[in-house]
Amino acid sequence: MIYLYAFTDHPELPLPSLPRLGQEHPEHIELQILPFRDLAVIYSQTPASSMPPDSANIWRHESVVEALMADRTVLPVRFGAILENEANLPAMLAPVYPTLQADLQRLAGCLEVSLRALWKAPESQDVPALDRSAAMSGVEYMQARLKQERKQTMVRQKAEKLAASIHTFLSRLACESHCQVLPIPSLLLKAAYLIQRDQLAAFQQAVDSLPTTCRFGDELDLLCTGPWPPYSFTTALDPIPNLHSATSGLTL
Amino acid sequence: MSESVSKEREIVLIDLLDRILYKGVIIWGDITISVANVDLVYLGLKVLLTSIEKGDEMRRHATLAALADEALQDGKRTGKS
Repeated sequence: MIYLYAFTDHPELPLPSLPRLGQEHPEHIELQILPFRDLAVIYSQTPASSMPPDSANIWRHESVVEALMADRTVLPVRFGAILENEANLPAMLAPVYPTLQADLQRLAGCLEVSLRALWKAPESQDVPALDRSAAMSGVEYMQARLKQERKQTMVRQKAEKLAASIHTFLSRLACESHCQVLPIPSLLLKAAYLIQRDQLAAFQQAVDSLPTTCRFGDELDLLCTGPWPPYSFTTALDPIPNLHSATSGLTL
Repeated sequence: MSESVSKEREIVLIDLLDRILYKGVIIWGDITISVANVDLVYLGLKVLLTSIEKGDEMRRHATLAALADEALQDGKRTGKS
């Protein structure tokens, strides 16, 4: 069996030496490379037919992809991709090669940064539920509903305005970006930014300046992590079924 | 380890899981990982927003659920119930 880590450009480059993953996970990873036209598939042999998503395996996958990212463009493969052997790879790659090649060109020199803005605005949590047990006339009930609806709309509008100001400010430094506003009530904004490597320091400064630039004070907690391999910016492909894959529960 | 360092590790781990398990190139097959049908990221954010102890408790539950599932699958394979 082989375990896939990433597709990269520059198949002629030597494989990187990998950092030790610490005392907990001292095992050695023997990476292999399969050139395919002008890209490369990076993988390792594995005796397992599935890869449990535990802490050791998750960090091993990430360490390999990050080591590759140091000197080449990577398209990180989603965790858990296992194939019978490398003999099938060229036939499987052929139909998706144009997409992979286009992604490698588009993502060249880029890194991903994640931003989450956790919302502490009291009014976002302060929309009372209607007390259905209270004795209310129909009119009173409808008025209460209307009041509740207006408050929720106001909270939503405030969230959208604040999220838009943050996202617009940061997007000017990004090649591409994705964002979700209020995916859950306490998360105002969840965003990913594709940044040119040489823009990383400027992006960090922009994040640091957000509380004053976007004037939200201590209403928000910003959680910014990265740089990550560009997981969020690879093109979704139509998967071919029957891959051995990790489907077991999380054991971190 | 201080609580702030521990929380930072949690945040990084959540972002890593959000990417490595749900994004990236997937060419073959359908890889799905979930904990009792709860989105891991939202589960993780709840961990962040509650105490570290609560987070540990949630992780233990996730681990136990996985072990129980594994035991159930083993039982099915060996004909046990």
